[in-house]
Amino acid sequence: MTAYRIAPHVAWVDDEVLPRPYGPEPQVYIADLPEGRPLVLSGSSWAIWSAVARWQDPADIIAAVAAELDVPPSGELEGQVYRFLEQLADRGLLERVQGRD
Amino acid sequence: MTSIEPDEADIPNGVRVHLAHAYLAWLAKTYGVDLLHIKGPASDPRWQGFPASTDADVLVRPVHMPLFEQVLRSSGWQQKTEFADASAWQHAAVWHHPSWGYADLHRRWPGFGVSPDTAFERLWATRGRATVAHQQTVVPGHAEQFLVHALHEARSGHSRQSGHKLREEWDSMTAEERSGTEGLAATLEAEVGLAAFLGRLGDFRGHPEHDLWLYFSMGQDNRAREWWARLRSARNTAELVAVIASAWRVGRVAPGGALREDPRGLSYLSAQVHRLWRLLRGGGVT
Repeated sequence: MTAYRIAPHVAWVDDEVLPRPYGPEPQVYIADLPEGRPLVLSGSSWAIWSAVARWQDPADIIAAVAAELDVPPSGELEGQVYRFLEQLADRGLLERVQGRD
Repeated sequence: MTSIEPDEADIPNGVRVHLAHAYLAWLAKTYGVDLLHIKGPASDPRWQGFPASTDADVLVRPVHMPLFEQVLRSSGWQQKTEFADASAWQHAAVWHHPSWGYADLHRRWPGFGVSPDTAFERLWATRGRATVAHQQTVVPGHAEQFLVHALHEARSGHSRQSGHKLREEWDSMTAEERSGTEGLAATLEAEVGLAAFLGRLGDFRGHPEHDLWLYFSMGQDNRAREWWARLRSARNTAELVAVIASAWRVGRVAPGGALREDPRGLSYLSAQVHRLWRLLRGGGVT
Protein backbone atom coordinates (compact mmCIF):
# COMPACT_ATOMS: atom_id res chain seq x y z
CA MET A 1 0.00 0.00 0.00
CA THR A 2 1.26 3.47 -0.86
CA ALA A 3 1.88 5.83 1.99
CA TYR A 4 2.50 9.55 1.69
CA ARG A 5 4.69 12.14 3.32
CA ILE A 6 5.37 15.80 2.71
CA ALA A 7 8.29 16.23 0.33
CA PRO A 8 11.40 17.63 2.03
CA HIS A 9 11.66 20.52 -0.41
CA VAL A 10 8.22 21.86 0.48
CA ALA A 11 7.93 24.88 2.76
CA TRP A 12 4.56 25.30 4.40
CA VAL A 13 3.01 27.65 6.90
CA ASP A 14 -0.21 27.20 8.80
CA ASP A 15 -1.98 30.50 9.29
CA GLU A 16 -1.90 29.93 13.04
CA VAL A 17 1.46 31.74 12.90
CA LEU A 18 -0.42 34.92 12.20
CA PRO A 19 -1.42 37.07 15.17
CA ARG A 20 -5.02 37.07 13.99
CA PRO A 21 -6.99 34.64 11.82
CA TYR A 22 -6.75 35.64 8.17
CA GLY A 23 -9.95 33.98 7.03
CA PRO A 24 -13.06 32.29 8.35
CA GLU A 25 -11.39 28.87 8.46
CA PRO A 26 -7.87 27.48 8.94
CA GLN A 27 -5.56 27.76 5.95
CA VAL A 28 -2.14 26.43 5.09
CA TYR A 29 0.21 27.97 2.54
CA ILE A 30 2.50 25.62 0.65
CA ALA A 31 5.47 26.44 -1.55
CA ASP A 32 7.61 24.06 -3.55
CA LEU A 33 11.21 25.18 -3.20
CA PRO A 34 12.37 26.65 -5.49
CA GLU A 35 9.33 26.88 -7.73
CA GLY A 36 7.57 29.49 -5.61
CA ARG A 37 3.97 30.46 -6.34
CA PRO A 38 2.44 29.35 -3.05
CA LEU A 39 -0.77 27.39 -2.91
CA VAL A 40 -3.36 27.84 -0.22
CA LEU A 41 -5.39 24.96 1.15
CA SER A 42 -8.47 25.43 3.27
CA GLY A 43 -11.41 23.42 4.52
CA SER A 44 -11.17 19.72 3.74
CA SER A 45 -7.92 20.12 1.77
CA TRP A 46 -6.40 21.83 4.82
CA ALA A 47 -7.57 18.89 6.91
CA ILE A 48 -5.88 16.41 4.57
CA TRP A 49 -2.60 18.34 4.58
CA SER A 50 -2.69 18.59 8.36
CA ALA A 51 -3.24 14.84 8.57
CA VAL A 52 -0.34 14.07 6.21
CA ALA A 53 1.87 16.23 8.40
CA ARG A 54 1.23 13.76 11.24
CA TRP A 55 0.55 10.43 9.49
CA GLN A 56 1.89 8.54 6.48
CA ASP A 57 -0.46 5.58 6.34
CA PRO A 58 -3.56 6.40 4.28
CA ALA A 59 -5.83 4.68 6.80
CA ASP A 60 -4.54 6.97 9.55
CA ILE A 61 -4.82 9.99 7.27
CA ILE A 62 -8.43 9.19 6.42
CA ALA A 63 -9.29 8.63 10.07
CA ALA A 64 -7.70 11.94 11.04
CA VAL A 65 -9.53 13.78 8.26
CA ALA A 66 -12.83 12.22 9.25
CA ALA A 67 -12.28 13.25 12.86
CA GLU A 68 -11.31 16.79 11.88
CA LEU A 69 -14.34 17.19 9.62
CA ASP A 70 -16.58 15.42 12.14
CA VAL A 71 -17.86 12.97 9.56
CA PRO A 72 -17.87 9.17 9.61
CA PRO A 73 -15.16 7.46 7.55
CA SER A 74 -16.87 6.32 4.37
CA GLY A 75 -15.96 4.98 1.00
CA GLU A 76 -16.76 8.34 -0.55
CA LEU A 77 -14.48 10.19 1.89
CA GLU A 78 -11.76 7.61 1.33
CA GLY A 79 -11.95 8.11 -2.43
CA GLN A 80 -11.82 11.89 -2.14
CA VAL A 81 -8.83 11.77 0.19
CA TYR A 82 -6.94 9.33 -2.05
CA ARG A 83 -7.57 11.41 -5.13
CA PHE A 84 -6.33 14.56 -3.40
CA LEU A 85 -3.26 12.79 -2.06
CA GLU A 86 -2.45 11.58 -5.55
CA GLN A 87 -3.01 15.08 -6.93
CA LEU A 88 -0.56 16.50 -4.41
CA ALA A 89 1.93 13.71 -5.13
CA ASP A 90 1.68 14.32 -8.88
CA ARG A 91 2.58 17.96 -8.20
CA GLY A 92 5.63 16.86 -6.24
CA LEU A 93 4.33 18.22 -2.95
CA LEU A 94 4.01 14.77 -1.41
CA GLU A 95 6.27 11.75 -1.77
CA ARG A 96 4.90 8.29 -2.23
CA VAL A 97 6.53 5.84 0.15
CA GLN A 98 6.14 2.13 0.66
CA GLY A 99 3.59 1.71 3.43
CA ARG A 100 2.71 -1.34 5.41
CA ASP A 101 0.61 -3.94 3.55
CA MET B 1 -11.63 19.36 -2.38
CA THR B 2 -9.24 21.37 -4.51
CA SER B 3 -6.23 23.58 -3.96
CA ILE B 4 -6.26 27.18 -4.90
CA GLU B 5 -3.40 29.12 -6.39
CA PRO B 6 -3.71 32.50 -4.73
CA ASP B 7 -2.96 35.80 -6.29
CA GLU B 8 0.24 37.18 -4.87
CA ALA B 9 -1.61 39.96 -3.09
CA ASP B 10 -3.75 37.47 -1.21
CA ILE B 11 -0.90 35.98 0.75
CA PRO B 12 -0.70 37.52 4.23
CA ASN B 13 2.62 39.21 4.69
CA GLY B 14 3.23 37.30 7.91
CA VAL B 15 3.03 34.07 5.92
CA ARG B 16 5.17 35.40 3.11
CA VAL B 17 8.02 36.25 5.51
CA HIS B 18 8.09 32.66 6.79
CA LEU B 19 8.20 31.29 3.25
CA ALA B 20 10.91 33.79 2.25
CA HIS B 21 13.15 32.60 5.08
CA ALA B 22 12.66 29.03 3.94
CA TYR B 23 13.45 29.92 0.34
CA LEU B 24 16.59 31.88 1.27
CA ALA B 25 17.75 28.94 3.38
CA TRP B 26 17.25 26.64 0.41
CA LEU B 27 19.20 28.98 -1.86
CA ALA B 28 22.05 29.31 0.63
CA LYS B 29 22.30 25.55 1.07
CA THR B 30 22.14 24.90 -2.66
CA TYR B 31 24.84 27.40 -3.57
CA GLY B 32 27.09 27.05 -0.53
CA VAL B 33 26.45 30.51 0.90
CA ASP B 34 26.93 31.03 4.62
CA LEU B 35 24.13 33.12 6.00
CA LEU B 36 22.38 33.53 9.32
CA HIS B 37 18.66 34.13 9.61
CA ILE B 38 17.95 36.88 12.08
CA LYS B 39 14.89 38.45 13.67
CA GLY B 40 11.34 37.56 12.80
CA PRO B 41 10.25 33.92 12.68
CA ALA B 42 13.89 32.74 12.82
CA SER B 43 14.47 34.27 16.23
CA ASP B 44 13.61 33.13 19.74
CA PRO B 45 9.80 33.22 19.93
CA ARG B 46 9.99 35.41 23.03
CA TRP B 47 11.60 38.19 21.03
CA GLN B 48 9.60 38.03 17.87
CA GLY B 49 8.67 41.61 17.45
CA PHE B 50 5.53 43.60 17.42
CA PRO B 51 4.54 44.49 14.79
CA ALA B 52 5.47 41.34 12.90
CA SER B 53 8.38 41.33 10.47
CA THR B 54 7.64 42.64 7.01
CA ASP B 55 10.69 41.07 5.40
CA ALA B 56 13.13 38.20 5.83
CA ASP B 57 16.35 39.42 7.45
CA VAL B 58 19.56 37.52 6.80
CA LEU B 59 23.19 38.29 7.61
CA VAL B 60 25.44 37.04 4.83
CA ARG B 61 29.12 36.15 5.18
CA PRO B 62 30.69 39.22 3.53
CA VAL B 63 32.88 37.25 1.15
CA HIS B 64 29.80 35.31 -0.04
CA MET B 65 27.67 38.40 -0.67
CA PRO B 66 28.56 38.86 -4.39
CA LEU B 67 27.68 35.22 -5.08
CA PHE B 68 24.40 35.45 -3.17
CA GLU B 69 23.43 38.64 -4.98
CA GLN B 70 24.10 36.90 -8.27
CA VAL B 71 22.04 33.90 -7.20
CA LEU B 72 19.13 36.12 -6.16
CA ARG B 73 19.25 38.02 -9.42
CA SER B 74 19.20 34.83 -11.48
CA SER B 75 16.31 33.53 -9.35
CA GLY B 76 14.05 36.43 -10.22
CA TRP B 77 14.78 38.75 -7.29
CA GLN B 78 15.09 42.48 -7.91
CA GLN B 79 17.29 44.74 -5.82
CA LYS B 80 15.27 47.64 -4.43
CA THR B 81 17.82 49.57 -2.38
CA GLU B 82 21.58 49.74 -2.09
CA PHE B 83 23.66 49.31 1.02
CA ALA B 84 24.48 53.00 1.00
CA ASP B 85 20.77 53.79 1.28
CA ALA B 86 20.23 51.74 4.42
CA SER B 87 21.37 53.71 7.45
CA ALA B 88 24.28 55.46 9.07
CA TRP B 89 26.01 52.07 8.94
CA GLN B 90 25.15 51.34 5.28
CA HIS B 91 24.52 47.81 6.41
CA ALA B 92 21.70 46.29 4.38
CA ALA B 93 20.03 46.17 0.98
CA VAL B 94 16.43 45.30 0.21
CA TRP B 95 15.50 42.76 -2.45
CA HIS B 96 12.05 41.70 -3.70
CA HIS B 97 10.53 38.70 -5.45
CA PRO B 98 6.92 38.50 -6.67
CA SER B 99 6.38 35.16 -4.91
CA TRP B 100 8.63 35.44 -1.86
CA GLY B 101 8.20 39.08 -0.94
CA TYR B 102 10.99 41.14 0.59
CA ALA B 103 14.41 40.11 1.88
CA ASP B 104 16.78 42.37 3.78
CA LEU B 105 20.35 41.32 3.06
CA HIS B 106 22.76 42.46 5.75
CA ARG B 107 26.46 42.66 5.09
CA ARG B 108 27.18 43.90 8.62
CA TRP B 109 25.23 44.38 11.83
CA PRO B 110 25.05 47.95 13.17
CA GLY B 111 26.80 48.17 16.49
CA PHE B 112 29.54 45.61 15.92
CA GLY B 113 32.81 47.53 15.91
CA VAL B 114 34.94 44.62 14.68
CA SER B 115 35.18 44.02 10.95
CA PRO B 116 32.13 42.44 9.28
CA ASP B 117 34.18 39.34 8.50
CA THR B 118 35.26 38.97 12.13
CA ALA B 119 31.75 39.60 13.41
CA PHE B 120 30.20 37.04 11.06
CA GLU B 121 32.80 34.42 11.90
CA ARG B 122 32.16 34.91 15.61
CA LEU B 123 28.39 34.50 15.13
CA TRP B 124 28.87 31.55 12.80
CA ALA B 125 31.04 29.73 15.33
CA THR B 126 28.12 29.41 17.77
CA ARG B 127 25.32 29.04 15.24
CA GLY B 128 22.23 27.00 15.87
CA ARG B 129 19.18 25.84 13.95
CA ALA B 130 15.62 27.05 13.79
CA THR B 131 12.71 25.64 11.82
CA VAL B 132 10.81 28.14 9.73
CA ALA B 133 8.02 27.00 7.42
CA HIS B 134 9.17 23.46 8.18
CA GLN B 135 12.59 24.12 6.71
CA GLN B 136 15.87 24.29 8.60
CA THR B 137 17.47 27.69 8.89
CA VAL B 138 20.81 28.61 10.43
CA VAL B 139 20.57 31.18 13.22
CA PRO B 140 22.94 32.78 15.73
CA GLY B 141 23.28 31.22 19.16
CA HIS B 142 21.00 32.34 21.96
CA ALA B 143 23.33 34.91 23.52
CA GLU B 144 24.31 36.20 20.10
CA GLN B 145 20.63 36.54 19.13
CA PHE B 146 19.99 38.56 22.25
CA LEU B 147 22.81 40.96 21.41
CA VAL B 148 21.69 41.29 17.79
CA HIS B 149 18.15 42.11 18.91
CA ALA B 150 19.34 44.47 21.64
CA LEU B 151 21.43 46.48 19.19
CA HIS B 152 18.50 46.65 16.79
CA GLU B 153 16.17 47.85 19.52
CA ALA B 154 18.73 50.43 20.66
CA ARG B 155 18.79 52.12 17.29
CA SER B 156 15.02 51.86 16.85
CA GLY B 157 14.17 54.02 19.81
CA HIS B 158 12.73 52.79 23.10
CA SER B 159 9.16 52.36 21.99
CA ARG B 160 8.66 48.85 20.68
CA GLN B 161 6.99 46.03 22.54
CA SER B 162 9.70 43.65 21.40
CA GLY B 163 12.21 45.84 23.29
CA HIS B 164 10.24 45.32 26.48
CA LYS B 165 10.49 41.56 26.03
CA LEU B 166 14.24 41.86 25.62
CA ARG B 167 14.52 43.98 28.74
CA GLU B 168 12.55 41.37 30.65
CA GLU B 169 15.04 38.80 29.38
CA TRP B 170 17.96 40.94 30.61
CA ASP B 171 16.30 41.44 33.98
CA SER B 172 15.80 37.71 34.37
CA MET B 173 19.44 36.85 33.57
CA THR B 174 21.76 35.70 36.28
CA ALA B 175 24.85 37.78 37.00
CA GLU B 176 26.90 35.18 35.17
CA GLU B 177 24.66 35.36 32.10
CA ARG B 178 24.82 39.16 32.05
CA SER B 179 28.57 38.99 32.36
CA GLY B 180 28.62 36.59 29.44
CA THR B 181 26.53 38.96 27.31
CA GLU B 182 28.74 41.89 28.21
CA GLY B 183 31.79 39.80 27.37
CA LEU B 184 30.27 38.94 24.00
CA ALA B 185 29.62 42.64 23.40
CA ALA B 186 33.24 43.40 24.24
CA THR B 187 34.45 40.71 21.84
CA LEU B 188 32.38 42.23 19.05
CA GLU B 189 33.15 45.83 20.14
CA ALA B 190 29.44 46.42 20.69
CA GLU B 191 29.63 47.82 24.22
CA VAL B 192 28.28 51.26 23.29
CA GLY B 193 25.26 49.86 21.47
CA LEU B 194 24.49 47.49 24.34
CA ALA B 195 24.80 50.40 26.76
CA ALA B 196 22.33 52.34 24.61
CA PHE B 197 19.88 49.45 24.87
CA LEU B 198 20.32 49.23 28.64
CA GLY B 199 20.01 52.99 29.13
CA ARG B 200 23.62 53.31 30.24
CA LEU B 201 25.06 55.51 27.51
CA GLY B 202 26.32 57.84 30.19
CA ASP B 203 29.03 55.25 30.88
CA PHE B 204 30.41 56.01 27.41
CA ARG B 205 30.24 59.78 27.40
CA GLY B 206 33.13 60.97 25.27
CA HIS B 207 33.23 57.76 23.24
CA PRO B 208 33.18 58.53 19.49
CA GLU B 209 29.98 56.49 19.03
CA HIS B 210 28.15 58.01 21.99
CA ASP B 211 26.31 60.74 20.10
CA LEU B 212 25.27 58.43 17.26
CA TRP B 213 23.72 55.88 19.62
CA LEU B 214 22.12 58.65 21.66
CA TYR B 215 20.56 60.03 18.51
CA PHE B 216 19.02 56.75 17.40
CA SER B 217 18.08 55.44 20.81
CA MET B 218 16.12 58.63 21.49
CA GLY B 219 14.22 58.23 18.22
CA GLN B 220 15.25 61.69 17.04
CA ASP B 221 14.54 62.97 13.57
CA ASN B 222 16.99 65.78 12.94
CA ARG B 223 19.18 64.89 10.02
CA ALA B 224 21.79 67.57 10.75
CA ARG B 225 22.24 66.14 14.22
CA GLU B 226 22.46 62.64 12.76
CA TRP B 227 25.15 63.64 10.28
CA TRP B 228 27.18 65.39 12.99
CA ALA B 229 26.98 62.25 15.11
CA ARG B 230 28.06 60.14 12.14
CA LEU B 231 31.05 62.40 11.59
CA ARG B 232 32.03 62.12 15.26
CA SER B 233 31.71 58.31 15.16
CA ALA B 234 34.29 57.93 12.39
CA ARG B 235 37.22 56.04 13.87
CA ASN B 236 39.81 56.96 11.27
CA THR B 237 40.41 59.16 8.25
CA ALA B 238 39.04 56.57 5.83
CA GLU B 239 35.72 56.36 7.71
CA LEU B 240 35.54 60.16 7.94
CA VAL B 241 36.04 60.49 4.21
CA ALA B 242 33.38 57.83 3.64
CA VAL B 243 30.85 59.70 5.78
CA ILE B 244 31.57 62.98 4.01
CA ALA B 245 31.33 61.30 0.60
CA SER B 246 28.02 59.69 1.48
CA ALA B 247 26.65 63.10 2.45
CA TRP B 248 26.91 64.09 -1.19
CA ARG B 249 25.60 60.85 -2.54
CA VAL B 250 22.19 60.88 -4.17
CA GLY B 251 20.36 57.61 -3.76
CA ARG B 252 19.39 55.49 -6.72
CA VAL B 253 15.99 54.51 -5.39
CA ALA B 254 13.36 55.97 -7.68
CA PRO B 255 9.73 56.51 -6.77
CA GLY B 256 8.08 53.09 -6.98
CA GLY B 257 11.13 51.41 -5.51
CA ALA B 258 13.20 50.48 -8.57
CA LEU B 259 16.88 51.25 -8.76
CA ARG B 260 17.73 53.89 -11.31
CA GLU B 261 20.96 54.97 -12.91
CA ASP B 262 23.25 57.20 -10.86
CA PRO B 263 21.70 60.67 -11.04
CA ARG B 264 23.77 63.00 -13.14
CA GLY B 265 23.68 66.58 -14.36
CA LEU B 266 20.42 68.33 -13.63
CA SER B 267 19.01 65.37 -11.67
CA TYR B 268 21.99 65.43 -9.32
CA LEU B 269 21.88 69.22 -8.98
CA SER B 270 18.15 69.13 -8.32
CA ALA B 271 18.59 66.52 -5.60
CA GLN B 272 21.31 68.54 -3.88
CA VAL B 273 19.25 71.74 -4.00
CA HIS B 274 16.37 69.83 -2.44
CA ARG B 275 18.65 68.59 0.31
CA LEU B 276 19.98 72.07 1.02
CA TRP B 277 16.44 73.38 1.23
CA ARG B 278 15.53 70.67 3.73
CA LEU B 279 18.64 71.45 5.76
CA LEU B 280 17.78 75.14 5.89
CA ARG B 281 14.29 74.24 7.00
CA GLY B 282 15.70 72.09 9.83
CA GLY B 283 15.23 68.67 8.25
CA GLY B 284 18.92 68.11 7.61
CA VAL B 285 20.70 66.28 4.82
CA THR B 286 19.04 63.04 3.69
